[in-house]
Amino acid sequence: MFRFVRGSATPRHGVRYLLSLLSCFSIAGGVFAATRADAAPSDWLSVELLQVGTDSTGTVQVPRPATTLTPPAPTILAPPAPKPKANYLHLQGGLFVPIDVNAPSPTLGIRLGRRVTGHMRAGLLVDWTFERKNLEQPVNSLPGLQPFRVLARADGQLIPAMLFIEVNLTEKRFLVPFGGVAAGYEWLLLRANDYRTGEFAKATYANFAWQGWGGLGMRLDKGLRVDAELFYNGGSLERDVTDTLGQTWTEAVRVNGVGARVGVDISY
Amino acid sequence: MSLAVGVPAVRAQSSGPDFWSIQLSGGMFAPIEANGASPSAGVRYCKHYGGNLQVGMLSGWTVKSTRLAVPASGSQSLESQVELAQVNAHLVPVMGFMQVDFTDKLFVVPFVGIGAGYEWLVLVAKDHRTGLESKSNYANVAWETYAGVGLRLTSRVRLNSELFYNGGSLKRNILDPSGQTWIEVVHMNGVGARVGLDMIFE
Repeated sequence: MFRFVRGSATPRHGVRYLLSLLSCFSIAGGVFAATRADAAPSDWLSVELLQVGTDSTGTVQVPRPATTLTPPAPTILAPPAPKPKANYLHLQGGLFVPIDVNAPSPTLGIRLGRRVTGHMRAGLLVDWTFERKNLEQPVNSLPGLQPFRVLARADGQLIPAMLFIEVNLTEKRFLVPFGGVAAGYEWLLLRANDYRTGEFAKATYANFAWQGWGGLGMRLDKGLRVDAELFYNGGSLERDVTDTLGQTWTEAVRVNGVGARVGVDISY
Repeated sequence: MSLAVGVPAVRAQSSGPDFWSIQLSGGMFAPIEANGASPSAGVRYCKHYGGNLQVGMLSGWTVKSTRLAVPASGSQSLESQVELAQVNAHLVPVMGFMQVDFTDKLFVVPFVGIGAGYEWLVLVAKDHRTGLESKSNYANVAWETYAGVGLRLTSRVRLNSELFYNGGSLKRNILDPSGQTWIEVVHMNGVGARVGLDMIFE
């Protein structure tokens, strides 16, 4: 156990108090070293301070470690912290409702990101929103599932490709609030078929656009999170058209709208 | 609760990389554009990635039979009817799916899933008034989403009950007498409920 070398003269009261204090520190240091993985190694406390002694004149000395008196305490090294996974894949699906179109459309998307700092990630997102409208008429009058003949059809596909930044408000909790913004380019592909007349029309609109989202994730595993989020897409996609007089006009389709989506966030 | 029902290992033994599971289910499906619900049976076969994520294939079979009937003339009984037409529909989806279990530790396991793939519909119609019989096949890309709660009966068997939504507009091309091609569609959007046994194996 701890053993102090006693000199010929009894130490004064202040020296004894100091020795007691140092002993307490050394014990506390050993305890903390064993219980706190991130604490600094406490060898210098457990070895050197325990051998504090006094000389005959009562002055405190801190000698070199003497292995013959007290064996060095085993070095307790903190286990290396697991390196956080740097890349993220976010697969999502949901509904998007453009403000100018009174119908929700299914949307699928992917976000490929990389951790920038502890809470922030950045990357690339691509979505695909699809909307189809048919002009239909019933085929027969039989009961049950009714087939319809498609007389005309219009398809719209909205495809953004953007760079994004996302911030997770916590990296430790089960529930993870997060928010993100993105900016980039967006395309709208419109196709229309009138099968009665055989007419076909096709138009492509494009422009800069942006997205913002906020949501809540549930951290199920180290590398798996389920996210639910609301998002806003803003953009006015355009194309140039030339009329019969040769004059060029700009046509615009506003794709501002809100949506909701759920996704799986996988880190690797 | 898990101790009370005798679950030997509450945590599912699905955290390893080589665990698979199969779910056999039965329930009802009600297309929005058709009156009434129809019986359905299904299967999901998947691999477990960690304790929470499953990826695999699903399939099913839904049968819907509908009759057009009128009361028999002169009959005093309401049960006596004359069938004018009958339509039988068979719906078969084959999809890839992904499912997330929100816990792998508790006795009660909430989960959600989504699938996408192809769907086939066979319509067999008999019109007794005209004597016409027809069989039509419709197919297209479709999708499905579901959410439910599972009860972990043992470490390898779970009883799942879930609600699901099936979305799809199945189509076929037809030629009219003038030689023009038309598209016929049957909308298979609808909701359903099913109960299934989910069994894990290595």
